[in-house]
Amino acid sequence: MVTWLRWGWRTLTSMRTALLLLLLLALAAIPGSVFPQREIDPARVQDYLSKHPGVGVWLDRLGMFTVYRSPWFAAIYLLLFISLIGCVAPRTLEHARALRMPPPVAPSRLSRLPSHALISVPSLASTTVVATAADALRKRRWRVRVAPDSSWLSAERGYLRETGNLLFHSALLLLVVGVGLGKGTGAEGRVVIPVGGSFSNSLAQYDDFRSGPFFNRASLQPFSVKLDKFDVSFERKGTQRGAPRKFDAYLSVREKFGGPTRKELVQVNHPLSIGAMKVYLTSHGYAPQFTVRDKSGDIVWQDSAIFAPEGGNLLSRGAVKVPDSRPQLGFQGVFAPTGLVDPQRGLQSVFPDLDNPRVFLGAFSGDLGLDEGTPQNVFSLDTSRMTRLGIAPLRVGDSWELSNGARITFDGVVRWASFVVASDRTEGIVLAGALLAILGLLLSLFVPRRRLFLRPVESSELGIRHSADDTTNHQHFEVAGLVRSGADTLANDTAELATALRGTVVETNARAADVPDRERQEQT
Amino acid sequence: MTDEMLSLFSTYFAYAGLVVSTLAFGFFIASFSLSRTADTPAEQPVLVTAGAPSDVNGAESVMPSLGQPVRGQRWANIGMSLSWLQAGVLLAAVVLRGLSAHRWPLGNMYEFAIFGAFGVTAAFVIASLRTDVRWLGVLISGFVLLDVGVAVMVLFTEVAPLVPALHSYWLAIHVTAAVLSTGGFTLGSGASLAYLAVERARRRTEVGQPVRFTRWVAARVPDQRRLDAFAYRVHAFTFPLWTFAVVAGAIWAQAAWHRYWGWDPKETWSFVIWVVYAAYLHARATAGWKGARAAWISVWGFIAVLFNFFVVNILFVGLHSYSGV
Repeated sequence: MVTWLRWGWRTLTSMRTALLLLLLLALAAIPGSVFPQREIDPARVQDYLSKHPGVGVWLDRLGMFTVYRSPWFAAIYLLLFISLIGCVAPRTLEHARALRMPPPVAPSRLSRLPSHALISVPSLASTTVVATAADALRKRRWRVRVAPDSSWLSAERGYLRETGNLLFHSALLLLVVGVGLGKGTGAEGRVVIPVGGSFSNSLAQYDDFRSGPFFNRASLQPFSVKLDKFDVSFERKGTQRGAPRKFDAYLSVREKFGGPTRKELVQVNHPLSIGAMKVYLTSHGYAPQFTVRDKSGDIVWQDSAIFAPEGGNLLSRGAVKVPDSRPQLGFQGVFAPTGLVDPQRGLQSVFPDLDNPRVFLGAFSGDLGLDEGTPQNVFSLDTSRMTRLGIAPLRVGDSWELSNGARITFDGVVRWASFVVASDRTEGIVLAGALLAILGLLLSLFVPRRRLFLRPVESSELGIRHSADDTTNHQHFEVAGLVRSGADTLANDTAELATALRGTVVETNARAADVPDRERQEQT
Repeated sequence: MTDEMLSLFSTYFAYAGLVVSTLAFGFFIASFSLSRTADTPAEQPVLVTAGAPSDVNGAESVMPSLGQPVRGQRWANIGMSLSWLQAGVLLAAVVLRGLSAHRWPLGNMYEFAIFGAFGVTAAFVIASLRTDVRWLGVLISGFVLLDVGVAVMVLFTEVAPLVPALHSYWLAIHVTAAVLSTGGFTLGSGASLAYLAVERARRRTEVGQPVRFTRWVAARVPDQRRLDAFAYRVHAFTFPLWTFAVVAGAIWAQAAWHRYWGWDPKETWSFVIWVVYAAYLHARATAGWKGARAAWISVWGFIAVLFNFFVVNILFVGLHSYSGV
């Protein structure tokens, strides 16, 4: 049994498994971009299901509409992270141990190593040279080990490469943990505010609110905002006519009951921070204003009705529900900011700004169904218990007298802005994880790890002749190196060492001499 | 100079880039055709590059060497000079476009494509300063030719300001990093494709199967060890840049869309690309996956890059839809 477990663990934490899991993760993420996802746009999912009833049910069962929350996707990345932890933890211990161990003993036959050079140093005793070399290398941040009798030197450098590698993988772990914690402790609520309207941060006032299991809904941070002004403009000339150009929402913010208000500007890309929460401007539209009077002239409804925009020219649809009149009245409306009546298709909008506001209303009387207890769509009427009274087009200022004596007046239009109020407590951790990962990645890819060895060599062995008038006593040293991983910089290292010893490189098989082919030997 | 004139000149430079890249492509193809292998003794170039083994079936690599002008080599040198011109011309197209629009020139598919073509060319000519990349010339100039061609003929759109959602300095940071990474990945994939060609030639020759075209290509690119090393260097440089592009996108998304990651199709495909290239780097350190398998992974990664740019921007519904035409 233990053998099986050990085999299983070893397989799970092997490079090959990690590689296969990575490829599987990439493949598994793809369907989420092809099929509509519930967490992004549930309406599109419904649409897809109604268009593909048979296949759709099976896709739903397989989790194709909730790919990133599905168990099989989670299984892949959980296995990947277990594999990562299982590999990184022992390697961290190994690396910590290696950092404390001295470099290995210099091999006796340095000429066998891939990068080999001969340095000639004038006049110093060989033990002094070894000591000088050790100092020079230590200054350049090499870890040096000198033989007890100073007969050789061994140096290693580039431990930062493995440190970077471990940092990268640990940072990924930190990032994923941060994301998970953030989702658990975070919250996001949407609210639509018409110009002139206000909003207080309480659960009841949100149009939509989602929060993680550890978020305390009961103690939302207290603040209130009022939308004083909302400047919106669109491109009027050229091929991009109608494209949005400006959305500036001016809010008055009050953070304490009875406290002072401050004026703030919220734009897309520039959210407003209020304590731990942030207020983002996300969308905009129109809310036509109506007054409804009953047959005795009393006002039974007077407000702006939020209409939902469609398309680039913001043709909007909505409903006005008047529960306080007897009988109850309801109006289904289509609003165009720049209206044009098409004989076949009815009211169209030809420009997104308020150049020619027009609304078409369909009036109904009867039972709105608001007492049923089931929630209703704000933008549409349930006309199953209502009778239709007629349709009329209205301009700003127009009134429409209905057959039962009630009257509706189209008073004007205000804009509305929609905001998202979000709380994310771990974004700092996630950002730190991401930045540390990039740092670790750079270190792990660009810091070369290599070893350098130095041994004195008897000049007589070499058969090197010096010219007759060269009377300095030259000592010769073999320098050889090994690239453990990364780029081959041994030629540079050798040349630097030679310079530090005031010597010259007599011969070398290092590849720096080749021009223009300067590609180094890659050993992972 | 008015904005309209600047925009017009930018478009002229883009067309010029198309012409130059076509010429460069022609010269690189010519240099390939005019090189000779060991089969024709007439113009056998002498190998000087240290340690380069013969690669395919005894035919020595015809990698042009120092100081040995050979017909093929001259054409390739002209192609290289044209590539430098191409970089300059495309840079001019990008800069003039930015000046005429009074913003960073990365706001729509046309601008992405032109900037991308510049990025690929720049990566190519900068790499040429460190090592001999003339063998990549055909693929790179061919790619740029197609890219600029599609840009000016299909993707072109007049200069216009950006929608408010794109009013952020992150546009310059995030999109530039993404576009430059694409240039790096193009270079790396070119090397991987060359590697796979050599591999195919080698395998089929071993079993005696017919392999004329691949062998012809294999004789004109460096040996597998150098191709693999080159591909690795390029990917090792580009992968952190792509990581940074994705992270920068997430930081921007947090400011603009109130969440740093939402599995928007573009975000998803950027993730897929990242994971595939991470797999490539892993594969080069895994027994049994080095060499051809790793090269294939990098090619799939590049296919994902192309998909992310052309298909996801245009066909997939998501928050990145204004990066469409």
